[in-house]
Amino acid sequence: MPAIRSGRSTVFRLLALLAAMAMLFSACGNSDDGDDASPTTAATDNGDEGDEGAAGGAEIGSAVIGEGPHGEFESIEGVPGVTDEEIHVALLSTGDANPIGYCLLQCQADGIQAYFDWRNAQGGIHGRQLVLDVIDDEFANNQLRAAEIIDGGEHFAVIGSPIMGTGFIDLTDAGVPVFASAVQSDMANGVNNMYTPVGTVCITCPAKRNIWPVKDSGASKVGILGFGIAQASKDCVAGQKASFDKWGGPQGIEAVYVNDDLPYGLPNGVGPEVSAMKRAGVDFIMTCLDQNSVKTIEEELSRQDMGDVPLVLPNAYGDEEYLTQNAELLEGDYIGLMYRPLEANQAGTDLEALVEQMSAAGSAINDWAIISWINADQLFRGLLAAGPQFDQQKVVDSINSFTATTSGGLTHAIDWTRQHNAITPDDLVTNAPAQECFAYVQVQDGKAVLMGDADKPHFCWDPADEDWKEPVPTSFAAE
Amino acid sequence: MSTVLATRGVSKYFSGIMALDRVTLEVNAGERVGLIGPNGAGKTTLFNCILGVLPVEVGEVELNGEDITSLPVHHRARKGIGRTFQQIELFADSTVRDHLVIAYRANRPRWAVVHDLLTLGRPRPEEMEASDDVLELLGLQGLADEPVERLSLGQGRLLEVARTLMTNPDVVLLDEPSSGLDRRETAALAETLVEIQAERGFAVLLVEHDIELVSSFTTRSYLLDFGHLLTSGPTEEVMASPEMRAAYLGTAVVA
Amino acid sequence: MILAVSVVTDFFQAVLQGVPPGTVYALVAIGFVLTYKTSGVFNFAFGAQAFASMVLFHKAADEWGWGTVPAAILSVLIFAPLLGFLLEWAVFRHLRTAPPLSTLVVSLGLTVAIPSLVTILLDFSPKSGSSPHGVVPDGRTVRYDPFGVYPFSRDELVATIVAIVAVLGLAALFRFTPVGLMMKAVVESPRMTELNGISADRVSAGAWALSSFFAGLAGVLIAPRFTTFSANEYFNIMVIAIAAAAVGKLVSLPWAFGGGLGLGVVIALVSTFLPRWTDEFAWLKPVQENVLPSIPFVVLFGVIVFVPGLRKAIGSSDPLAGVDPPRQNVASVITSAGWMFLALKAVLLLGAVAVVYTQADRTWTLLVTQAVAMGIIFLSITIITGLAGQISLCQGAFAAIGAFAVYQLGEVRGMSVLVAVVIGGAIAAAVAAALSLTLRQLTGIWVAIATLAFAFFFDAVLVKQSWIGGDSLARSRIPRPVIGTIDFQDDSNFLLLAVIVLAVCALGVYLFSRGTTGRKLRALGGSEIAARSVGISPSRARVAAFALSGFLAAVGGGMLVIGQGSVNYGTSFVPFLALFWLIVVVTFGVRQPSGAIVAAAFFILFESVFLKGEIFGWILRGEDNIPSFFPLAPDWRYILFGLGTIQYARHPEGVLAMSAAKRRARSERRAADKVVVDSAAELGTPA
Repeated sequence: MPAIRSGRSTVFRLLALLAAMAMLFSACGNSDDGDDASPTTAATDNGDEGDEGAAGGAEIGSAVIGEGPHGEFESIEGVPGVTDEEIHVALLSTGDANPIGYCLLQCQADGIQAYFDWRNAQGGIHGRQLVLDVIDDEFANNQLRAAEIIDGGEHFAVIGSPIMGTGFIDLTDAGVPVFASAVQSDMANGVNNMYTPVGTVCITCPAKRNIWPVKDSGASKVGILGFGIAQASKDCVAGQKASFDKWGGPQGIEAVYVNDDLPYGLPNGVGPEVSAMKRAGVDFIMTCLDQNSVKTIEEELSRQDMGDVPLVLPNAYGDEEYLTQNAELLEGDYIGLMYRPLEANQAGTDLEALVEQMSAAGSAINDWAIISWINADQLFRGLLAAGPQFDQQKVVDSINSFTATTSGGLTHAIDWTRQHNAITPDDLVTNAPAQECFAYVQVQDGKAVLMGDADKPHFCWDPADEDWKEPVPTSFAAE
Repeated sequence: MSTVLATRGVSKYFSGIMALDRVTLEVNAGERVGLIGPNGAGKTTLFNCILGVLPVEVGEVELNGEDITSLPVHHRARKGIGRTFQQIELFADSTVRDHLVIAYRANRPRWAVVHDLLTLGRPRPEEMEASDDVLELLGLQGLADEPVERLSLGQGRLLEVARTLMTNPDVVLLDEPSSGLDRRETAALAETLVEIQAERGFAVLLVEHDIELVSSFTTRSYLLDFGHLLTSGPTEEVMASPEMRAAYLGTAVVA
Repeated sequence: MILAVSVVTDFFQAVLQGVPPGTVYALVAIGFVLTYKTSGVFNFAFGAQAFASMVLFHKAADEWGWGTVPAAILSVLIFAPLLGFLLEWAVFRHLRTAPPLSTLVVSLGLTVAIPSLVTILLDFSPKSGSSPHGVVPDGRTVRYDPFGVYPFSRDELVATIVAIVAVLGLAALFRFTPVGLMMKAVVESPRMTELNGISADRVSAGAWALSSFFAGLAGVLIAPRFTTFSANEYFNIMVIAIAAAAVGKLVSLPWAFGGGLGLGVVIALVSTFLPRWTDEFAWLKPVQENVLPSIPFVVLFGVIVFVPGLRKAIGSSDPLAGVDPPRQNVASVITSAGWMFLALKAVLLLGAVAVVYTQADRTWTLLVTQAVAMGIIFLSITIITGLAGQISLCQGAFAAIGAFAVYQLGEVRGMSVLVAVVIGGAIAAAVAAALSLTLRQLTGIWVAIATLAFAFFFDAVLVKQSWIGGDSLARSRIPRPVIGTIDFQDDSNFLLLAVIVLAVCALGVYLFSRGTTGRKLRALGGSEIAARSVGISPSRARVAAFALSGFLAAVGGGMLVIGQGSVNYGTSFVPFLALFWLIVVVTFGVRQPSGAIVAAAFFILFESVFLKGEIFGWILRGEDNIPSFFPLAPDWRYILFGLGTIQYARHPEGVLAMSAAKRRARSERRAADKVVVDSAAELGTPA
């Protein structure tokens, strides 16, 4: 009988044994900390004190917050993530294991850290410094990391927009305040402790903002593209189409080519699809795709003599490298923003501080960083409004009392008493903000150029208005 | 006497090369028939055609009067053909008993799942009995729980025969059973074969090179060479025939 | 008249539009066929090799500032053949006599390991917005329009020209030179070639260098077509390339070329004309939505099932194969010698479960529950691969069926989730049985490929159907079961339930294995011809095995998503992961249920326990003492297990059985020694 090689099997056996024992011992170790700590332990009665907090809170949502000091220090026991010196906040997002290659974790961390640095330099909040713990969910382990956060009891709140937020539901169920982005709108709908920058968004609803860039470019025939495999992409296409169906007619605009079935990764190129758009006379394209796919489409457009057709680009704001490297392809394309563009007049808003802080840290100021800054600001205002004896529930209640918060002039006014619920295609009004606003920049020579008034950069529409009208240029800067 | 097995005009081609040319033979019930011929004559190919391992485009194969030419191998086996193999084919990782039990079960489909649950997969009493009988018949009793890797070649060949017996065949195709055995083992094998054939009464079609074994065991023989059936008849006559000499020794005249 | 002309122009334009993607498929298909012809190996890792060269090319050209031509020389002319030499010398030379399925498993392991290894060694991380570029300057922007209908970019023209030259050159090489003949001879019978004075090792090394060079070439040329630098793209394209290669029955280079080009053109034609027909005939809409993404997989499946002559077994019929000593066989059913050991294992397992139940916090409970659910899924692999000897690469799809059944029936329709799990299992069993029936005429490798085609079809077409994947999984909250007064909302309780389900499944696997069908499958595995000759129907036994395997996978998938509370198809059940499952199970032992369970534990806990270095934290008493190179990247999981498959090829019984065999050999030796000593004592002679 040939001799059997022994080396590897022994190693494996040893590893198996060690694995089993490590598992047991780790389990023993963790149980002491996390066992009874439930995130909402503060036994204070929410009833009476809540009113007082709420009354002060509603103002804080829209107030201009000065140099500080912010709040008052009082000793607190049993609130997760809170010590006498620090308040710990977790960023739970996706790092390099990200198949699309976007900068998520790092960029979001940059935005939050910049905000924390700013406030910490002003003395922090309630006598404590804000500390950010960056947690990478490595794409597949979001739920596990969330479980660790809940068990660990070492974080007061969670901010982040990962690729798959499977653990966010667990976090909100456990009472942890969660601050995410519009990508997680579906998850955030109706959840009163989950916040997004401009309130929960309805992706399938028609939106007046979609008409504007088409009108601006003088186009009349719109093509809409999305992936078949991703429900979010299909929903996005549906919403775009609904916009043109509802409001396009009187403006002379029509969606003539709608394709929500592109295969992910575009393995076969988009030749036939672009040819079909050409035949249909498309002169403007809305996309519900990722940055790389848009590049492919732009190249094909250029190949088929449609290089002048403008697109609306996803997520590319602030990505200078992307814009300069692809300047020719992206010329004339629009980028839509739900916050005040950097190219607008920054005075009277927190944009000045944002730019200062991020430049000082050497961070790239892009879409994710700005969104995360807004998240951090929401949390901060909630803490401030909740008062010195704060806990997670109080902070949530405080934010939920804000009726017109703009995160320091960065966004239009959000009413958290209503906007945890998204509008629906049948009811575009009840849960809508007072004004629905959006900003646009256009790529010219590889740079983003502001569309509209530098002092009043937001294009705002009245949700109650049945028809589409030219938007009202508005500013939410402090007077 | 009824015909158990018959091939009628079976021809087989491999990419244009003819391996069998209109071979017609018959085996009657309880008969012991030999199939002889030099290497490469096509004997194993014919076996494979009879069993169904190779598809037959021209000609028919009949079993007990029924045309089985288009049936798959396992159907033919269930209908009554058994076979042993020139290069011994045993089931790895099994004991002798396992071989016999699975052959038994394959031919008597029942609600296996229910039985399995009741007996936890162990052999049932009637299976034990039947396999014990066969083991005794072949002189393999006492080896029931041996893994087949431990058997000698001779024992392995006997096990192959035992395995086919569990399926109650009407005809058994023996493919060079003495291959690799010495004289003593071959003699023992011959003796055993005679005994069990007499006991169970199945027909045998034997492919062999060992002249003594063929002469002692078979009553009739067919001579095959280059895919052609050269002659047939009582075994001694075929052995002594000029075609036999020509096929094995050639026709060159030595001056 | 005008209409007719425009249709013709459109047709022609669509054909031209199909050429660039078709060239990509053709290049990979040619390379794949080349590897197969010259080495006899069904090299799934061809795509991974191509990816490796592509990464090196971009690293050198973009980050190290080498410039495209030197970078191309490095990655294609130097690195690629070297990689081929390494693979041949370290891996495939030793697998010449291994059964083709073992070689397939090894190549799957390499598919998983090579991209991760390259990514770590070269410190490579894909960036959004920067796309791969080609070898020629201005490859993307300069265009040529020879027909005046559709322009091609420089990159595309270069790729097409290279493909044409390659197919002609290689075909000539095989037709007219002794080199090709030598390579084919070595594939068929290395020993006979050596008897003729040709060094099989040298020829084999040369063959691998040649085909690997082509992999590098293909990798660099096709890069510009992808939007990202993802290894996934190179993996997905393998399936399409195999479809093209299958058209040529795996051995014809011109047919592979034609098949690839043809696929690209057909897809472009369908993309162009089907939407127009859908405009006229609205009922075509579902067809349009589902046909396009499924074309390559349907073609592959169709070719495999319907093209005759493909069923010829892949693998050498080497006349001199018998010269090798027989491979050592290890009993797959652990006999009485293992009684005590089995009991000890059971006690240890129960002990571990008890500790976790009482002591673990939520995170560990969740992890262990996942491991238990994966164990059930892995048991399905024990049945289909360990017992029935088939490689099924669609276990992920079966598990997903169970998961979606729980979601649709349990959450959307409010049925009891446990009942939903069983129904999901039944559905998967039916699908698996149907699949097996369709494939019953096929031999090992083709079953593997067909199941992979099915997995991709499921992924591309079925998952997004609203009655399967559902419309809004994001907010889904799969309820935990309630039995009587026990509420399994408590994670620890649910863990216990999962363990019970696992135990029942393991028992079922054990009984199945010892029962009639199990015995039949083992007989078929031992000698298919002999099994058939005693009346065993191979297709019936295999269909039963497939059905049970589908059932188990679905039950595991269902339990997994109940534990997690939602269905995460993208991170749990995609085809690539199912590949990886097979590799992990095979490493630990695919023939016994315990192998599956240990594999599941490792699969889930490996990252937390090892890659994060926690185990060192425990050994060294303190989290701060964990060495600083931890946590290791998750990539290491793929590397270690992928390379572990090489071990599998030498010891297909797997690690656990190997150690069991050694134990038995040791005890036998001891017994034998004892006999010697005893008899020596009796005879009064020294032992």
